[in-house]
Amino acid sequence: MTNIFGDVRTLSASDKAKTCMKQLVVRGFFKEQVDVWRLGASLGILTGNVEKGEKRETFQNINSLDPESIFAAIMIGLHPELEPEDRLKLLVDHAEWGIREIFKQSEIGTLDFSKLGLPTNNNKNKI
Amino acid sequence: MIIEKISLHNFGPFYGDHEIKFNIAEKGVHIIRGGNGQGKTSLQRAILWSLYGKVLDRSGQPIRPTSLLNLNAFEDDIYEFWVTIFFKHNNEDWSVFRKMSSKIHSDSKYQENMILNVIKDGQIIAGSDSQHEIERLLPYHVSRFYFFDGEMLRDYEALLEQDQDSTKLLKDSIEYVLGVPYLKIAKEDLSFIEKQFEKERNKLIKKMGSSNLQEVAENLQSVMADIEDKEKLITVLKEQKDRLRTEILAKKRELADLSEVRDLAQSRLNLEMEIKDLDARKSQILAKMQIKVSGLYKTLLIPPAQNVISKLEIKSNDVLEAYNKRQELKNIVSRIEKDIAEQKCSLCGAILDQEKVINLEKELKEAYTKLELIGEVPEPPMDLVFYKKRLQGMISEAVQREDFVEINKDLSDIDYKIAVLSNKLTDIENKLSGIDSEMPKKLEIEIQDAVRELGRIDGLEEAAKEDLTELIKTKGEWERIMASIPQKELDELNKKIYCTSSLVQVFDDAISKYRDERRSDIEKTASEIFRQIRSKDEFDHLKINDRYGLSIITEKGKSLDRGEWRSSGEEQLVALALIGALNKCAQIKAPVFMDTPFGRFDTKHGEKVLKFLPKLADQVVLLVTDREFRKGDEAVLEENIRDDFTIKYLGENEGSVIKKTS
Repeated sequence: MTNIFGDVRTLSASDKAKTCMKQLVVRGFFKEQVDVWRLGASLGILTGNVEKGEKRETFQNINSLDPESIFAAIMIGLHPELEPEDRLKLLVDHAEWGIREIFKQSEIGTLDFSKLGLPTNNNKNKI
Repeated sequence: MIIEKISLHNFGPFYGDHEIKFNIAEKGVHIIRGGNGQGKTSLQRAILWSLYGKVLDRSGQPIRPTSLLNLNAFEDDIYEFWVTIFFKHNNEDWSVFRKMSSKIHSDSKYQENMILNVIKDGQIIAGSDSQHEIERLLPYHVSRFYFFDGEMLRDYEALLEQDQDSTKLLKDSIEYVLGVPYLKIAKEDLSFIEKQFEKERNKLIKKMGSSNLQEVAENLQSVMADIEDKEKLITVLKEQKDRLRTEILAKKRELADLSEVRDLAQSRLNLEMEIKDLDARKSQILAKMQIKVSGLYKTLLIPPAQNVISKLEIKSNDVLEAYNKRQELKNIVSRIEKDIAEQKCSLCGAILDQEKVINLEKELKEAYTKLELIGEVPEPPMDLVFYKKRLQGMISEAVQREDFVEINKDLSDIDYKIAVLSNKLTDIENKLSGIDSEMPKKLEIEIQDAVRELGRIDGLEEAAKEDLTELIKTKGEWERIMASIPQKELDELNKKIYCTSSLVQVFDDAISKYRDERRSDIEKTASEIFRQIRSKDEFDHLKINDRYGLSIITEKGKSLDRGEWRSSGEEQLVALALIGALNKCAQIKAPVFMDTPFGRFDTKHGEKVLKFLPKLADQVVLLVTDREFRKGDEAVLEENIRDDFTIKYLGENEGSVIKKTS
């Protein structure tokens, strides 16, 4: 099987994303931080949004975050032309954006899992 | 008495000069609004302090002058405060000005330097008479019926307990309102005159020098001295009993407050349990939600996954087609090469001639060309197939978004319930803050001790009364002996003594008769008011017994025990009916100030009482919070509102101010 993300075995996250994930678990929305990460990444992929630039450090093993290779399948399917390392970086960028977005919605009290990622009247194109 | 204006200076929360002027052109109700702690009760206290120079707190204890001075004034080292009341009485203009000032902040110094100026129609009333004049207009004992505090209605409700001891002071005050003490004073004056005649008679006997008379007179004098001692003793014992009763009443009131505390503590416990149950339910729902949320990413990935699946399908199909074609050609080449080598057809087994071999070589060449055209084809992309299957599986496992709608609804319901209960809990916790949990027990012990002491003094009083009866009997015997000794001057004195003694008896009977009549008046008036504000139609009227104990009589004539209809709102209605009746039956006409009177009424009863208020007195001043006097209540009072003020506490620097309600 092709190694979609190259030789890298761990995924990284910024301090801010880690804080957001921790808070969302503390607030009872999520059981574990990996659940926040997966939902954040999927929200970023779905909406095509990315967050770049901030320094990132090791977060979790790829196998723990994507045990069913769903993110691998999606990323190779969407970005076959990218180098594995770039593909992985893009996935992390999606997750960074999505995690912050979920946290932001929980902060302002608009987090509604039944509508997460669906286009809204205010922001049809974005989410 | 109709109050026209009140001026205050550095009194309580009122820093500097403040004034409230009532529109008294017509009878009616004056509203003074203010939240808790803004200064309503202080305004009422200012009037009472101006009139009597003393004011009590809600536990019945006198408030010290140092506590009456405004705090800002104290910080500015200004140790003076005053209150002036301007009022009309019998078409005369009156003003009462009372001031306390001192060089140091000391209760005794304030008391020493107290000034009272009473002016009646421009004439200053001399110092010693001024307080007497105020007492004549509105005796201190009865002021409680005119300036009353809704928080203190419990005292009046105590009358409903039919407990003859605990409410004695209140009953004495009622008698003051009815004018009974005037007759009592007359009777006491006559008794005093009788004693004077008796003393005169004794002196006369001594002067006459007859040994018989001398002996009788000495015995009579000795008995009279004993009687006086006993009477003094009985008075002292009665005073002690009154003090004890006041103490017991105050402690019972405190205990009643604490029993409310116990109820509140129980409510707090119940609320905490309810909130805990709701929290547990919320945790269950959250756990359910967390499980769903952990799979939600798959739902979000459905649209990109569908896109990827179709891309992967196209890509893998292209590769597979080329691979299969090459494989087919390779098989053909392999077969032809074998047939040519063996000169035998592998399909039918026939031996090949030269012509057929040439044809096969031609076919082989064509196959080589086609293979060359197809070129190198990679192995079929099994990983793409694998990913496609993964994504297809993922779509089938995805969580339904609709599941979260129900979860959200359940969570919102629970959050709302928790918020409502938490608000109630906060209210209760505020009320309970700083309360000693051991206090009820201590108070119960103190009440028991005081009741025991009261019993002991009762015993002493009974014994003293028995002795007194015996002494009066002995005195009567000596008087009969004395009367049998003929002496003209003595006869005159005996006649005077007899007359005054008879008059004392007449007044004694008159007091009893007058009291009965006035009580009957109060009963009728209180019942009339009660019917206007009663909570249930089957409650027909009130009955007042000879000790001013109250009962409710139903339409069927049944006298209800308090326990049968106990409800704090209804108790307050009965108390208000009594106060209304006392005001109407009193010999004194004065304004009625009511501080937070609607605390325990629901909207319906609050309205009934409001409608009745204009009939209570010529001037009714309502000191109310916005919670008890709500928007729209003005309409209930219709055209009877004369003024509408608001007292507002502006903060530490400015204190409270009185303004027209905007």
